[in-house]
Amino acid sequence: MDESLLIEAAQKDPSRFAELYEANVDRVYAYIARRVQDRAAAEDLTSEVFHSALANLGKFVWRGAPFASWLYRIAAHAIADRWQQSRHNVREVLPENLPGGVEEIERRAILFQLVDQLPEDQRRVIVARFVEQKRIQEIAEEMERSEGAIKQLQFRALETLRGHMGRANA
Amino acid sequence: MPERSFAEQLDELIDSLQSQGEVPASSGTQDLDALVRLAGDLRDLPDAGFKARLKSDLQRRISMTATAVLPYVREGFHAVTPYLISGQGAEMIDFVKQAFGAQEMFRSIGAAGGIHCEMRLGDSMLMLGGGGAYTGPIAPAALHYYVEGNPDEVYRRALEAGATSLMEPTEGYGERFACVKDAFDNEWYIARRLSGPYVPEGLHDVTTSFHPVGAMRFIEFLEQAFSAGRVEVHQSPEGVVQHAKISIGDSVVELGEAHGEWQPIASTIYLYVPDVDDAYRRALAAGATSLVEPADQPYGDRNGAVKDAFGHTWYLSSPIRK
Repeated sequence: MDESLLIEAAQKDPSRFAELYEANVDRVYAYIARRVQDRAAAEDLTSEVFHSALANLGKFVWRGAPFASWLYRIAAHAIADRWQQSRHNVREVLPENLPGGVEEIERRAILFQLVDQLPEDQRRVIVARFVEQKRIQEIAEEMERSEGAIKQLQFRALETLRGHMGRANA
Repeated sequence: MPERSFAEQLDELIDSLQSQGEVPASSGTQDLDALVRLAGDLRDLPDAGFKARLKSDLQRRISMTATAVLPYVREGFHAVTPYLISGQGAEMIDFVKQAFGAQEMFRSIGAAGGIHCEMRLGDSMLMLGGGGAYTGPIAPAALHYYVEGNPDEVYRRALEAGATSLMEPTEGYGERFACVKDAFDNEWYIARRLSGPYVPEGLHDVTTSFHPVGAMRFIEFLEQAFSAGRVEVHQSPEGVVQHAKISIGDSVVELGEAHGEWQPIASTIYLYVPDVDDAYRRALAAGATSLVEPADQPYGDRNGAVKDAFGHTWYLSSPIRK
């Protein structure tokens, strides 16, 4: 569905907001995660952005820019507020100075979505390694595979993602 | 270079990335460098559990704070209204009045020759129909009815009005509750919260319940067809949906996988939606079959009907746009 029609539908029926959330959560998280130090802060801020967007959806006026631009603005304000409150949780780089800007955020959001399309064993290794920050030995024990097999799965997963990213950017 | 060696080199670089927090200097191999850069990006991969929890929080907030009157819902109604249809429409109306003190708001003869009656029960509306010249299918329902007074007394009145007991009054899940089946095959789960408000936050006095075969597929149908949201879903370790609350518009429906005496009921629901044609198309795309194509009706609603793959009939309705 066209994004402007979806926004209009969500303004009439808030339950349609779930579709806007699904379409944008990886982007918003990618935007925030590049700017804050830790996962807990990124999750808090992402949550704050979507709760704020839901509360203010009725005031949103579509002027042709992607809905994500509005979410990024909410995120930038939320990050700035947090930075003012505690000056040690936010990376030293200000949002507008990050290399790549919106294109880089889009690229990361696509990468995050592609992880869900990996074969299940490869996806499990990627999530365990990068989200749960586990070492190869721990993952091998959990999956009852050898460490060598887990390294191979990690390698194949990254190769697969690289291939898909190449096609996505082509 | 053999793949295994490459995989080990890559893992050493990822270890270094994880411990130092930065993408290491070039490995000297272009392919390996590209994979390590991707690994660097994946350090920001969001937790799927976090995303699901946040979605659930947002949906809960939507269902809790939905405005009292949605612009597409007829005054006095909520988005979801159960439509109980029996071969003995008049007798069923009398039962609901006698057992629960429901108030008749409107009665007429429908296009199929049966009664069409609208009744208020607590803060909710029921539609009841059938009887007379009506010869179509009957449609009982399973309803969770929260009472402000004493649920034991309501249970007793229901039995006196002709219902049979499915469960005597008992306590559990923070509620006092009982269950009866009336002579028209409707199941009434009569309950009151033991503390705080008599009805749980976010629910209306009457909530429609379903016991489909394939409860998770039914939830997915509700999401795809009607933009439903998961307020809460409790599953067994085997993945069977034991109990779920699903929001549709300003209403919540309950459901659990069919089991034991709780078997599927071919209920009919009158559902107010923001756009009948859109909901009709989406319901068909999600596996429902068409019963009535959307059309403007003389009583001021645009209306269409579908039957889902689980046997429920959905009348989709919205006030005609001026």
